[in-house]
Amino acid sequence: MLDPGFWTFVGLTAGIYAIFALGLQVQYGLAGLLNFGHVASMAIAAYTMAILVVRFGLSEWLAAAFGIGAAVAAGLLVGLTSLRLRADYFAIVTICFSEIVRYVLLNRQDLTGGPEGTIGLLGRGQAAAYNTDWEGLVGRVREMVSSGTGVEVSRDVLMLFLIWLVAAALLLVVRRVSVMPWGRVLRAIREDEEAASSVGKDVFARKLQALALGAAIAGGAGVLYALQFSFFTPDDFEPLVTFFAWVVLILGGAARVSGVPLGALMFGLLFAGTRFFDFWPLSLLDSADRAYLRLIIIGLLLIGLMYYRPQGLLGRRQEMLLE
Amino acid sequence: MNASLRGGTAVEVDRTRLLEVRDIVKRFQGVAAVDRATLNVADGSITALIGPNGAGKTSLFNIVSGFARADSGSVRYRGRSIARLPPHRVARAGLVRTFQQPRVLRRLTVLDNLLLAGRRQPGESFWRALAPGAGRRDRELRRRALELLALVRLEDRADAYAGVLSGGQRKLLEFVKALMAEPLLVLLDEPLAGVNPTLRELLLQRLREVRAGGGITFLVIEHDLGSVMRVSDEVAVMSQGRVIFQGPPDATRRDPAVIDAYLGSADAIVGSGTPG
Ligand SMILES: Nc1ncnc2c1ncn2[C@@H]1O[C@H](COP(=O)(O)OP(=O)(O)OP(=O)(O)O)[C@@H](O)[C@H]1O
Ligand SMILES: [Mg+2]
Repeated sequence: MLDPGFWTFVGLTAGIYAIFALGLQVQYGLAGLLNFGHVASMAIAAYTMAILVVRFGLSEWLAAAFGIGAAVAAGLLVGLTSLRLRADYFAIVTICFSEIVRYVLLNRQDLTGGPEGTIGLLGRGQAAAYNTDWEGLVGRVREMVSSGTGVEVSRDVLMLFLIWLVAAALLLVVRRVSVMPWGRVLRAIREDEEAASSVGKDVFARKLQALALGAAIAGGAGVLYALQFSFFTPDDFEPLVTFFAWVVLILGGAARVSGVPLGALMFGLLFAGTRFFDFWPLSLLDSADRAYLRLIIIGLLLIGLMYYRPQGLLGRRQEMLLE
Repeated sequence: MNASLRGGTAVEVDRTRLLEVRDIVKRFQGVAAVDRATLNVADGSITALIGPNGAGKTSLFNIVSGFARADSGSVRYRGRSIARLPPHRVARAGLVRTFQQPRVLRRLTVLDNLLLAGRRQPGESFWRALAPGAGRRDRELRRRALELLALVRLEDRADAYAGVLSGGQRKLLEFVKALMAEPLLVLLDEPLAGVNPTLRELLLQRLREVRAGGGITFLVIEHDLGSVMRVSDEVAVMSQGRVIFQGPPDATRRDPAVIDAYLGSADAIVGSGTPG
């Protein structure tokens, strides 16, 4: 457990989930949109980037920007067609959409590499990579750091630093706009759409904007995920990933932007930590069973939290009780 | 000169008719809640809209404010048809309504409820919210909001969640929220219901002051006939979906159709009588 590699892994998981869940925080925490297909934004951004680089020879930077753009476009598409539905129907549409995206990724092998993932983007027998330039840059930065300060940083530690830098910047942006009138309008819409429109607020446009912003942030998380792990498959974007973002949000307290990094850290610890449950009596289980254990533990923890702190770790209890 | 340009030709705007409702019909499952209702609201007036329960008053408000679509008929506001505008566009045009059941935002503070209604807020745009200086307008609005809260004696509740307010206090907040939106015409749906007699007097007095001072016109649904007859210039009476009378308060009391349909019943004052 004292292995620095373990903590780096916890930090990386937490950082990516902090950004990913921040997108959901904008959509649900501020605007009240029940998005159960959040993972689609991540998948679309990551795959768009990889495909544009490998198949179309685009520069990695441009491809990353297009990836985020594609996530936003998909968010707008879902929003324009479905935001006028009641909240629960909208939730169903979003989860269906994310599953459709995953199935397309699995089955359009010619375009996406299919179940093998991005490594198969060029077909069998030819390993495809979409992050050569990026890895080159990371290597140069590491050299600069070691020649400048004499400290050797591993690639993962550098990524950890970078991902949390992005997370912190995005958190500050979202926090800022959420305390400004922009956030007030969304909180009003979240509570009572008709009341908000009776004082001149364009409810549909505002919800669409929140959806797009959340998709952009999740798209950013997708790009970082792709860069960190160098290769991914459609299985990385199962509905479970959306569920994890909800876990992060609930742990931190959905109403508070500052709850997101805390929830993400707790989640990262649980997610990575349960791999190390190899002591007795858990050692009696084989490793596949222990992987399920982590879902059970996350579930139990959520139940406990809902019982003792339904507002989340940083939420305001008073706000929940107002009738 | 009150003319607005539409389709290239100047159209005279009749200042005496800020709002013109013509032959509005609204059916729910075949039953007409509003049945060819016609109503005028003169600019600068306080017009009362009275009538028994279920007469269709709130339904008419919903149509005028864009929350419901009429099956037929027209609504003109400042000479323009607004029948197809969504609620937020109607409100931005200066026609602001309140709800019979106050729709205060419980998880926002009392002050935030008012600030929300403020106009021209650069901080409501995402990019401008990020730029410095977006807070200046907020401070202006804050001053105005505190004035309005003082008007209905809620100033010491400014920082409380609106969800802790009593029913009567919510009515008062709903009233000043409409004023905060810088309206030209306010539709008040039973602003006095559930408000204690002292505050009722205060509210009525404020209504007259606001009308006199700010050039705001009011259309007020109210069951408390004694109060509403005293402050209003015009009274419209609705019964079974129709406006059966419109005229000055004195003439209302004498009108045979009104007496027959409404005032004649013993409990006319509370308005719970069944129409004739
Ligand atoms: N959404 C709806 N669906 C079906 N019927 C409706 C609907 N809204 C209103 N009605 C019916 O239309 C009629 C008029 O209702 P409305 O609320 O306009 O009356 P009102 O004059 O405001 O009454 P009150 O003084 O009690 O508030 C009632 O019979 C009501 O049941
Ligand atoms: Mg009513």
